[in-house]
Amino acid sequence: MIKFTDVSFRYNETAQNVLKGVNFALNPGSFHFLTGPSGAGKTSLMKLLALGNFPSGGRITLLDKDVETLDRKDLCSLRQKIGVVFQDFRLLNHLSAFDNVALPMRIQNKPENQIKEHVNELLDWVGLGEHKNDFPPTLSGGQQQRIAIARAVISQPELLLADEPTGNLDDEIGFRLMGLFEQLNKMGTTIVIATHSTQIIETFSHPCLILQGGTVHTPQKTNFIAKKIKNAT
Amino acid sequence: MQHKNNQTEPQDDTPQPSILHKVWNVFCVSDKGYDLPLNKSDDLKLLRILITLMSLLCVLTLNSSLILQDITNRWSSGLENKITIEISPETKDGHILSADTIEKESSKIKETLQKNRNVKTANILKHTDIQELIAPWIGNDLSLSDIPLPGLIAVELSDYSENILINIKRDVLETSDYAHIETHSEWLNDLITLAYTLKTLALIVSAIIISLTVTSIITGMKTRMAIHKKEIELLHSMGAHDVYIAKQFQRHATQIAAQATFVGAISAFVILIIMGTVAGQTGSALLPNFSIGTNGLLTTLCVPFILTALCSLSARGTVLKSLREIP
Ligand SMILES: Nc1ncnc2c1ncn2[C@@H]1O[C@H](COP(=O)(O)OP(=O)(O)OP(=O)(O)O)[C@@H](O)[C@H]1O
Ligand SMILES: [Mg+2]
Repeated sequence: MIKFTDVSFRYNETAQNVLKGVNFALNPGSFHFLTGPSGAGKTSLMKLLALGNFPSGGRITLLDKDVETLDRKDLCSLRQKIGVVFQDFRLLNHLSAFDNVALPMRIQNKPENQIKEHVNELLDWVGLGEHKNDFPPTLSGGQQQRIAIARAVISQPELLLADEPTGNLDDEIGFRLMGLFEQLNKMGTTIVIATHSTQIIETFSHPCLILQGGTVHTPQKTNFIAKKIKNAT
Repeated sequence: MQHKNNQTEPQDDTPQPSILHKVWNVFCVSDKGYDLPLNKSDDLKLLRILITLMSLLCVLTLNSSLILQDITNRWSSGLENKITIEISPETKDGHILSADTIEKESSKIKETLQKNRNVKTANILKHTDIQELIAPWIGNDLSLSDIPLPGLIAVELSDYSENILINIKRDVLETSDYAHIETHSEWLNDLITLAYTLKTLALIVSAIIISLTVTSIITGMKTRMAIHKKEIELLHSMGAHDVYIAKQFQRHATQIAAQATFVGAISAFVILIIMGTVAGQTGSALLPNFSIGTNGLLTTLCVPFILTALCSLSARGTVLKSLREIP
């Protein structure tokens, strides 16, 4: 269970609130899109969900735990249950594709033979089996993004957060990756994907969270698409 | 011509590293097992040179303090119960005593001394002994007859106290008008104080060097943390425990310190041996014995281990402390 109650957030004391009065709840095993205009605060909201930042006000419950009450150790184990695909990938340039994907498993102290098996399997799945020894700077934006996605899902997280995961990908690979997300969702992973792409929102029938003016709206999906289409014409 | 094919097959499945391998890994700075590119830091060379120098200086200062300790011990035990009685060839009113007179006076004093029960031995130094003593200042070439030599009587006491000394002084002065008593204690005390001060100074300098070494490692680790802030954030976001991150810094610091301190200690050892050889060749009794004793050898061996351990622990502590400040 993920629940935001009156959550507000600003980057520093003097800055304006990026988020204010955010209220929503996501059931375990649900699949949501997070959308909204550029600069609305999608990435900021994702950071709160990923425990990268903490709210300036309000209360967040993540995977049934009150974030405010967690100590350092609990935070670590909670973070290990959350997979994140960052908008800017954040790959480690001095590590090979293989080692980048293996990182979460190494952090969780998994045995090396298990790491090898899982990473190779996943790299094949995202179509980068041949690039496992390549370093991120030598890969294309789309390839880097796929490594970032592989890294986020390698340790079978309970919650998967992806910030524009298909932004740099062509439609075919983009849809294939959405297929991977759907598969993970069927296995029980709660998924939140921030995206601009109306095409993806329309194709996959999942509920939307719309960020506008610093707050989250949860409209009926059909209404939203109708509005989008109306705006476009 | 026979040719053996020595090409090694690339090993695919890596075996568990042996203990020897692990030890070797500590000494060679490799990228393996690092999530953070710590070994690519710009200041790596500087840090290594700094710690090498620190360990070299530390070994040198600690060994000098040992040598000084040795000197003080030898001086105080060697001369403690000894006094010298001198019969100057030139009297107070300026006329020169003949060698015969000096010899007679010396014998008289010796006889008196031997009657005193606190005197263990009393020996009149022969002319050749005296010449040997003063050779460093005036050379061997001078014929003995050219200069008037003083009469010297080396006295060893079985016991030493102010009263005994006063008694001997009185006896000797009653026996001979020309005698002068040298008790060593004044100038020896000065020398011992000097050596002791130098030794303390050397120890203080060693302590300063050790703390500088630790400071430079701490600064180096803080710089690395600032440089790799983004990567550390990423590791945190994946749920890495502070210890997981700190261990990488610790290993890195241990590798640098182990390498640098051993190179420093070995260099210092070579310098000490060269100094010992040079001092040995001058063959002067005035110079202390520079050879490295068991204590010196032990110190030289211990310094790299202690410095490495200190660097390792302080790196870990620093990183853990800084990490705790990040939410
Ligand atoms: N690190 C930061 N420090 C201060 N302000 C920030 C920071 N990151 C984002 N902001 C501000 O917060 C607001 C929301 O930014 P955010 O990145 O969350 O938007 P977004 O919805 O993800 O946009 P996009 O669709 O372009 O990715 C913006 O006004 C931005 O200027
Ligand atoms: Mg964004």
